[in-house]
Amino acid sequence: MDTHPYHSQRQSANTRNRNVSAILIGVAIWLFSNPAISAAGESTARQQAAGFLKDQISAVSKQLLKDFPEDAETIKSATIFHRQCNTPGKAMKVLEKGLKYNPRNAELCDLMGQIAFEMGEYDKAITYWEKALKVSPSWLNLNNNIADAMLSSGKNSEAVKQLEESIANKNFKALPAPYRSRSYFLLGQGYMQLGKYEEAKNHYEKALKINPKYRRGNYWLGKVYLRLKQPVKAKQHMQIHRKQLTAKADRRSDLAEKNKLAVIDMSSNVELKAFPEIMAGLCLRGSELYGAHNKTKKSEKLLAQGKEALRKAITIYSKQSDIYRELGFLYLVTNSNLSDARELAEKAVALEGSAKNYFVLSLICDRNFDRTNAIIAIRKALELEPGNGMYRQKYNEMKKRKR
Amino acid sequence: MAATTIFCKNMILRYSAVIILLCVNVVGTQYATASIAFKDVTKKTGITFKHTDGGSGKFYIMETVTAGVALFDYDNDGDIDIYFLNGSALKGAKYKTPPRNALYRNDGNFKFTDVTDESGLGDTGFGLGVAVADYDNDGDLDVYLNNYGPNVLYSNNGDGSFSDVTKKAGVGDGNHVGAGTCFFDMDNDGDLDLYVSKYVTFSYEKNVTITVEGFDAYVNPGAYVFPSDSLYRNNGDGTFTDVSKESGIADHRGSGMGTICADYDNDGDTDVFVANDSMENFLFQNDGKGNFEEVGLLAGTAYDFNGKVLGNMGVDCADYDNDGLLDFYVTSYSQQWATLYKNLGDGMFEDVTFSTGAGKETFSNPTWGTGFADFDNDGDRDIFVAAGHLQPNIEKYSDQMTFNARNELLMNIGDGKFVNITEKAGKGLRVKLSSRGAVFGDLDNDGDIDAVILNTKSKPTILRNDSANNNHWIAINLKGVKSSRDGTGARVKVVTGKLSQIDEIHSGRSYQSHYGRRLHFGLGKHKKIDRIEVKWPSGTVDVLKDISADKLITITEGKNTIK
Repeated sequence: MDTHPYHSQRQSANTRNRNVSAILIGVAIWLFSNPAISAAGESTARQQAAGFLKDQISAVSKQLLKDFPEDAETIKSATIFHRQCNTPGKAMKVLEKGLKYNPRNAELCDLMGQIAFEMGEYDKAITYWEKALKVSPSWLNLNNNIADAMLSSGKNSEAVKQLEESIANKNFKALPAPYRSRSYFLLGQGYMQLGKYEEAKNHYEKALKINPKYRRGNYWLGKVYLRLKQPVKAKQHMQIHRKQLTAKADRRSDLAEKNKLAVIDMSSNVELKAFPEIMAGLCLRGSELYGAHNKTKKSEKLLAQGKEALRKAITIYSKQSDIYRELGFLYLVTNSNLSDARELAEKAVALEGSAKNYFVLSLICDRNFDRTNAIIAIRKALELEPGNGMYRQKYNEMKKRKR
Repeated sequence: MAATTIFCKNMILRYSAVIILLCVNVVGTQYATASIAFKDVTKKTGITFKHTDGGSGKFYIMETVTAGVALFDYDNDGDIDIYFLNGSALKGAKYKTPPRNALYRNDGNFKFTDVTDESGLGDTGFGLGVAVADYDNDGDLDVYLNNYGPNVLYSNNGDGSFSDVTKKAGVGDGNHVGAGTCFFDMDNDGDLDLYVSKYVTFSYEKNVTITVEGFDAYVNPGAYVFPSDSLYRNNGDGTFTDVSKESGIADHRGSGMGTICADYDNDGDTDVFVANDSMENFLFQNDGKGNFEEVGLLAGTAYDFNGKVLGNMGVDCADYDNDGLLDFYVTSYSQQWATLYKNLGDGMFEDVTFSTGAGKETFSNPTWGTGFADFDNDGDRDIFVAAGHLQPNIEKYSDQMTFNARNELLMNIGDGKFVNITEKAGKGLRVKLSSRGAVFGDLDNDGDIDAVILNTKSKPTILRNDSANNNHWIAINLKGVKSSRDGTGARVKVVTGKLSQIDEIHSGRSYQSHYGRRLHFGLGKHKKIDRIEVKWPSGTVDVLKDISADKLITITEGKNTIK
């Protein structure tokens, strides 16, 4: 079997690029953030596909956790799965067990921190992020997470100290721009809470200089101008913030207005984006583990099970690009049905022109010795996600190769 | 087992022991024996009311947001009675007996009698919000209901019965899904005007349903059109004029929920705070003449600490840190913190939820009714938070949220910080139901504040305050002369030694509810009050000195005496 860093890198990226405002599905339900509005029949099919994959992933992850309880990749996938299912309590249990085997695994500690943070358990989040940082001191974005949790539990001075130290670190400048701007923003918030408004303003401005589109940046800048008795500037920034929020709300209202009497399906849309990738990832990892333990039959059976599950999911609901992409990727990695793999990847791109879909299409074209289309596809992926290091590296490799 | 592993385990155990000891010391000295305790006495009260949401499985949005509850002395006999709002049959629902609101007369010692029939307050509309005040200045308390469907104004006949005067008064207010409502004197002319919040504009034809994991669920209000609220000016002759447009209120459309009217900027007129669900809160600043400017964004009450929109539910205000300024506490949706907005005194607020601990344990489930009340009479306001999810199937697709949930009690520890003492505050706080309206008052006239909670699709919870302390208190009734007869909007300052507290009479607050016409101040160990100052909406100021504690007094406007 051919292995590829695609899955592990994707999951790592998911883990490391923790978005502070990541919300659980439960919030999405009420906040109406990711609805799939459609006719009742389509909604039912989507739900059935999501439900089917959920059952499949649940069974595979249970089996793998039983056979390889110490495997960090499996633990990570199972955790992400439970998180996606809005069962963070189960995710936490998986992690707690997993951390007994991997107490020095920074990514698992980070995941635990994220889940604790999302559940509002800030002290617990700090504990695990501090553990992760201890194991992996160069992972500077963890300082942002820790400071965020400190601010959320009223530990403003500690948060400021944490961030000042992080920013003073010689490696800070090498951090990607979103992390650096987040550090400055959090520092601004800390100073704001401490009533040091000039310092707060300076740091907000630094953050906005790095990332002018920082979410809620205008709100914070407006607020600090108010405290500094500059109401005109304050109003300008606040109004921009309000407009951004209103535009978002209007989009939702329009969506709702157009779809009166429709059934709005709040969960399967989110789940179907994630489940195919988790399923494929778990099957690949499991197959690798069984292979390494000379359990070839089990290894092959698991891969076949993964492919069959994705194939069946397509027959239940045929409009989700992620299912096609992941099935194509499984074919690619197992070096089987390569022409089918290409068809699947092309179908995924036709359904949704996402960077991920273009990237997998590129890999499959490349394997099919179609370097021209592989390069076209990966260029498209890079256009959509210019900052993606993995895409860039693969693109450079393809370009360097003669054929 | 490897030696290093054993070493590590030993170290962990050692550190754990030290940490546990430290925790025990900290917790032990301060909060191990919480001084607030509630007992659930619902069964012995004789109250048989059971709330219904009017649903038939169609998941109409108003089902899940009903209803409020009111505490007021409807018969002027000196004790506080209870009025429960109820849903009614929505399309497709059938009941043998139509659900209706229920009034219970307080007979003392936590015994109540159902007087719905004789009072005429058994409204069969779909109940959401309620406010109580003496709008006609005749010396008794009237009731306004903010329903889904026509609203109703009940005038108190003074003999224990009420008459529907909606048509004459002109306050039926169309056909929206109602929410909180308040009486207040917007122009300080001595009669009470009426603010009516609205949630959404709904019709059965435009109903939106959602599914989560295949289970039916209630949709976010954003799926519907948000209406603007209404403001009615009292003409002083039993009628009202709709001044929503000219006052500036109609310029803003929102998804109003809890509403409270209070003088947050200490300029002598009453302003309006509207908690909006899934959009920014409104803070309407009054210019003293009944013209309003919406200033929530710049005041800092529109969003939370991070500038995020919350699913705001209920609201109360009080001076939690005794700095002479009214602060706001706003409850919100699940996986959001109930929020404490501290009044900074220059027209601005700061969200201090995290730094004060005022949101502890309010994260998991939606929170609804709320109140600042000094439950332990120690001279600062504690916070009660009613909780419970609105999605009946939530447990089928979440392992963190539950439809029925315990309510939360946050004790003010006196330095501007709060500690969640729910676990230690008696069996009354172990009740798990899905609560909505929550109101607070001294139901047995024993000097401490009890609680009444309306639970959706269930019986209410009546909590008797059994806190063991020897703290003192004073309760104050106000009687306006130039100002409205019931004193709504009057500001009272109570000074005992270094302790200075303020409060106002509000009509309509918490989650679509009403309570607090009788002001209650905890005095700690003070047996005597140095000074009571009453600033009436008319501008009159009464000052009384050297008043002994532990009693209910009545202050009449302009008399400078107590009764």
